[in-house]
Amino acid sequence: MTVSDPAMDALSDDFVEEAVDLLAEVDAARVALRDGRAPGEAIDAAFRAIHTIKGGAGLVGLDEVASHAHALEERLAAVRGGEASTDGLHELLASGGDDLRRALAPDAEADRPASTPAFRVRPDRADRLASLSADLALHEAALRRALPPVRSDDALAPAAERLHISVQGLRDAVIDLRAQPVAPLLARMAALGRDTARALGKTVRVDVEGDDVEIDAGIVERLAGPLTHLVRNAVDHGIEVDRAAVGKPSEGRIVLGAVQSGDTVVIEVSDDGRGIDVATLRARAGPEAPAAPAGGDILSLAARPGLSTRDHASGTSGRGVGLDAVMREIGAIAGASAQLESSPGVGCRFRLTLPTTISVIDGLVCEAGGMVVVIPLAAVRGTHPAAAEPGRPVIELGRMLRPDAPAGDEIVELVGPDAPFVGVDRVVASGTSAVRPLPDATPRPGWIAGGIVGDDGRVGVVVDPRGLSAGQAA
Amino acid sequence: MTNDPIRVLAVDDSRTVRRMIELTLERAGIHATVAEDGIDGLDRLGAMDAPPDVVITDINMPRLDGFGFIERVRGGDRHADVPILVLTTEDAPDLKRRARAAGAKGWIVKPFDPPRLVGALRAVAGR
Repeated sequence: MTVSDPAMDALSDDFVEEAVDLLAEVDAARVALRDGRAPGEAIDAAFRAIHTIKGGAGLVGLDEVASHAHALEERLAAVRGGEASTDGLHELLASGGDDLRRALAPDAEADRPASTPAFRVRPDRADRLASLSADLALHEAALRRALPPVRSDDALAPAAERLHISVQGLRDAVIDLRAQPVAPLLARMAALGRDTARALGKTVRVDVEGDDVEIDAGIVERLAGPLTHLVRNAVDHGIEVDRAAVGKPSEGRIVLGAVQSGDTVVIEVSDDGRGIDVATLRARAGPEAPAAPAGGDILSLAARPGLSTRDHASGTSGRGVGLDAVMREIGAIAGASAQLESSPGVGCRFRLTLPTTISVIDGLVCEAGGMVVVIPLAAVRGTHPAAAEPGRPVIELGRMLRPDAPAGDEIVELVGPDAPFVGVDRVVASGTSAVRPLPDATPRPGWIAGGIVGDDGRVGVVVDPRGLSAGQAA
Repeated sequence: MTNDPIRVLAVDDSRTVRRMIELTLERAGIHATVAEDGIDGLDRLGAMDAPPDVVITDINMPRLDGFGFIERVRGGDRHADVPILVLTTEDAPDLKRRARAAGAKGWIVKPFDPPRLVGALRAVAGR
C-alpha cells in the first residue's frame, strides 16, 4: 500500500515508536520465560506483541519488518498450539527481537526525506562548541559595557550592532544543535510504567501528552534517572491495588506531559492514585519537619532521605517515596526547579521546570559573602530591601559561604508557596551566565547547582533554590 | 435517512492502527472514537447516549479480545444491536467464521485499504 501525504507518512514514525515499545514487551516475556515465571502468559504476551507489530508494519508498508514478524509469529503459534516445544524459545525470542530491531532501524532512516540528512556529532565536541559560544556571548556583553557611548555616525556603532546580532545568532544556533526532542524519552518512560504495572499485576494506562518539546541533550540525559523514579513510584506507590474499593475506575492513569513556555520547559508526571499521605509523613518527619505547607507544594516535606509512609520496602521502588534522590538529580541541572502537588485520594502531580539550555541561564546576579552568586531567574519572584521584620525565615547566603558574614541588605523572594527568603549583600543585575556544571565527584552543598566565571574573572556559584530549605534560615 | 455524519467506534490495541483509522475516517467526514482493547471499547460504548453507526474491532487484544468484546456487547443491555465489523488478517478463515457466530456482521481484512474501509463503513451505516 502506498501513501503519499505527510500525515500518513508520519504514521510510519508512530509505528516505529510503537514497535519499539512492543519489542520491550517481547523482551519482558523472554526474561519471564528464562526465569521460568508464568510461561503460558509470557508466550501469549509475546505472541500478541509480535502480531501487533506485524499488523502495523503491513499497514505502513514496512514489508521487511512485517515478514520478520510473521516468521516469528508462526513459530510462536506452533508453540502455543502444542505443535512445538518450548525448548529454545527464549533464544528464539532474543534473536527474533534483534532481527526486528535491525529491520526497524534502517527503515526509520530510509523514511526520512532526502532533503534532511543527519550526521552524528560527538557530545564532547558539541559541549566545547556550546562552551565557546557561551563565552563569546559573555565577552561580547563585557565589550559592549566597556565601550564608550558610540555616536550614531561612528563606524563603531553598526559594527558593534552586527557583532551583537551575530553572537546572539550563534548562541541560538548552538542551542538548536544540542536540542533533542523530549518525546522519545517520555515514550520510553511510558513503556517503563506499563512494564512496571504489568509486573505488579496492576492495570495502568500511561499516556504521553504535550508539545514537540526540545531541550538540551545534556538535560535530557539527566532527566532519565528522575523520571524513572517518578514513574515507578506512581505505579508502585500511587496507583492503588484495589481501586474499585475506593470508587475509582479499575484502570489507573498516569500522564507524562511536556509543555514549552519561552525559555523553559515544564515536564509533569501525574497520577490518579492515592496521593501522598501528608499527615503520616509529617508525623514521621518529627518536630524538625517544615510547617504545614500553605499551598499544594509538599516537596520540602516529602523529599527527605529515608522518609516514607510505607512500613516495608517494595522490590520495585525500594523503601519510601525516594524523592530525595530525585531532587538530588534534579539539583544537578542548573536552573531546574520542581513542585509536588498531592490531593489525598485523588492523585499526585510532580512538575519539573527546566531551562531549555544547560550551558547558559538567565539569572539574578548577586553578591553574598564576597562571592558572586547567581539565582536562576525562573526561581525568582522578586526582590526587596531587607527589613527588620522579614515576615518569614531568611537564608543568609553570605553566612552560608562565610560564617562570620553580616546579614544581607537585600532580600530575594523565591517562587513557591513555602519558599524562604534569601538574603544577599546586593543585587547586581539580571543577566546571562555561562554555567559550568561542577564535576560529579565534587563534594558540594545541595544548594549549589554549578559554577560560573564572570567576565571580570571572578568565580561564582549558581544557586539551586531547591537546596535551600527553611532549616538553614538564620 | 439523515445527513448526520457517520459515527464509528474503532477498537484496536495498536496505536498505529488507531491513528490510521482516525486519519482515514476524519478525512472522509466520519466521526471516529477509538478504544485500545475490549474493556476500553465497552467503556466507550457504554458512555455513548446514541449507539454508533458501526463498531469495528480487532481480535487479538489484551484484557478482553475481540470475541469477548462482541459477546459482551450482544449479551449486554447497552446498544446490543450495534453493527460490528471485525478486523481480521487474510489468512484466518476460521476467525471469520467465529466472528460471524459471535454476532459480527462482517469483516474487514488487515492491512486495510483506506477507501475500502470507508466504503465498507458507509455500506453498513446505510449512508
